[in-house]
Amino acid sequence: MAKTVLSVDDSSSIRQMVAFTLKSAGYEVIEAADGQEGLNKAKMKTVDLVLTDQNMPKMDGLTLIKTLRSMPAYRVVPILMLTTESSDAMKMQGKAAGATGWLVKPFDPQKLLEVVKKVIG
Amino acid sequence: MGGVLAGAAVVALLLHGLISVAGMGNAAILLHGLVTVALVFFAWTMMGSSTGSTEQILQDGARESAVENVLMQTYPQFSNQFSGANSDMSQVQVLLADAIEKLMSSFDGMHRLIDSQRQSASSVMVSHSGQDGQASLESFLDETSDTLKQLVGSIVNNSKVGMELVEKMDSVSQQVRGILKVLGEIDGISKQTNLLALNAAIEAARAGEAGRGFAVVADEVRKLSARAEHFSQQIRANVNQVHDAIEDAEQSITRMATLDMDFALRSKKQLEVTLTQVQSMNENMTAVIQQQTSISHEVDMVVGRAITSLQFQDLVNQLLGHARLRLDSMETAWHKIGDWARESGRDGSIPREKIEQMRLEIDSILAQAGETSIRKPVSQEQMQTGDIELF
Repeated sequence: MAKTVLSVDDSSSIRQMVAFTLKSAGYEVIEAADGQEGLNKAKMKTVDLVLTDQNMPKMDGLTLIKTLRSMPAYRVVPILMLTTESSDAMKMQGKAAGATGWLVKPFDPQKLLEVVKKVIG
Repeated sequence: MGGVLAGAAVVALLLHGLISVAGMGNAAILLHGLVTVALVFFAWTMMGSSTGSTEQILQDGARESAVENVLMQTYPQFSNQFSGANSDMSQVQVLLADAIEKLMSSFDGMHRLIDSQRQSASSVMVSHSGQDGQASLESFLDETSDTLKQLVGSIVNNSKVGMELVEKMDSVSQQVRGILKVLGEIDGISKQTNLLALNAAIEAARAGEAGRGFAVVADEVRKLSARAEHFSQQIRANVNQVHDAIEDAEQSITRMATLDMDFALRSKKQLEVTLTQVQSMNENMTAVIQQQTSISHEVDMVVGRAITSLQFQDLVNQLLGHARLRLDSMETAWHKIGDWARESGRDGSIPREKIEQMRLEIDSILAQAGETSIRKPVSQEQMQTGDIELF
């Protein structure tokens, strides 16, 4: 069965590009426009990978990661940060919050696929 | 103090003129606003440096009616420019989001088309190489070639048999000619018999009464000879018919054999040419399909690069959002300053505590603006792919 990826980003174009890239490789993609919506959708269905932006209205990426990590269903699910933030300080915060990896925008579709494949197969 | 502000206003006017000449459209409005704000703050700082503490400036400023006048006069325009710049930037954000969404849909469509093209190409390849239990074109060609070669071989064989048949017909023809010769002999015999019967009749007549019986025998012999001749002629006519028929058959068979042979040889040659052509067409097709597959991979790569570049919208959107935050702080500060100027104009003087409170408010707005500007969400200066780090 196809693995499901939850793409959380307030930019609809980024969600569109992530969905385009992952769907073309056979993944199923669920979209959410902010951290809160992402959290709700993650609760409705346990996904195989969460790909989230950092700066978003309502709930940011770091908070989303922390909240998900506190839930038993998401203790080991890979969570990747896809953001324009590139400072080491932010990355350290991400790592501390429980992120599996940190991708700085803009992403290269091919490399995104490689990372996703590496993380969830 | 009024002089500093008047000077600043002149510089602002000059800079506005320059910006308008540069003709930057919507951006010019924003720049007008920003230049004016910058110059007012510059003037403010100048006043500060000439008198000492911020508190002192504000007290001095409150007494300076020229400053109030400038503020009161420019206040509505500033408000207009602030909200104009803000709505321009928001319009840019909306336009960019819309354009990128449409571009992405186009790329999505392009990708789908290329993908279906690649699939049809690979399905041709599959039927080519004979997977899925289908006969491959190559083995089909080989089989066709074999079958046709067998067909040509049997035609050539038929022709050979035909030629042998013609030879045999020829010998039959000779035999028939032999029969006709033998019939000639029979004719000679019956003529001679007829002559003998005639002589016997003459001799019988000469013998008179005694030869009467012999005359009857001689007559019977003559009749017999006539029957033999008649019989021989019938046989000759029949044999002649047989001879003609054989000759006809011989000609037909000869025609057929040579025709077959020619046709078979020509077909064989043509078939070889056609098979070579089909073979090379097949090779060409395979090459074209392979080329198409590699082109569609290249298109995928180009689309991938386009997608990387299209993400500029997200970066620009965040930067614009950030710039709008800065602008919002400036606008809030500016409103405070305007309120202050209005109040002091109305009351003539403002109580000391009120001034202190306003100073604190503005300071806090500016401090917040400073914090906002330090935390910039986007540090990229070029559209190259970002780093990837797995923890």
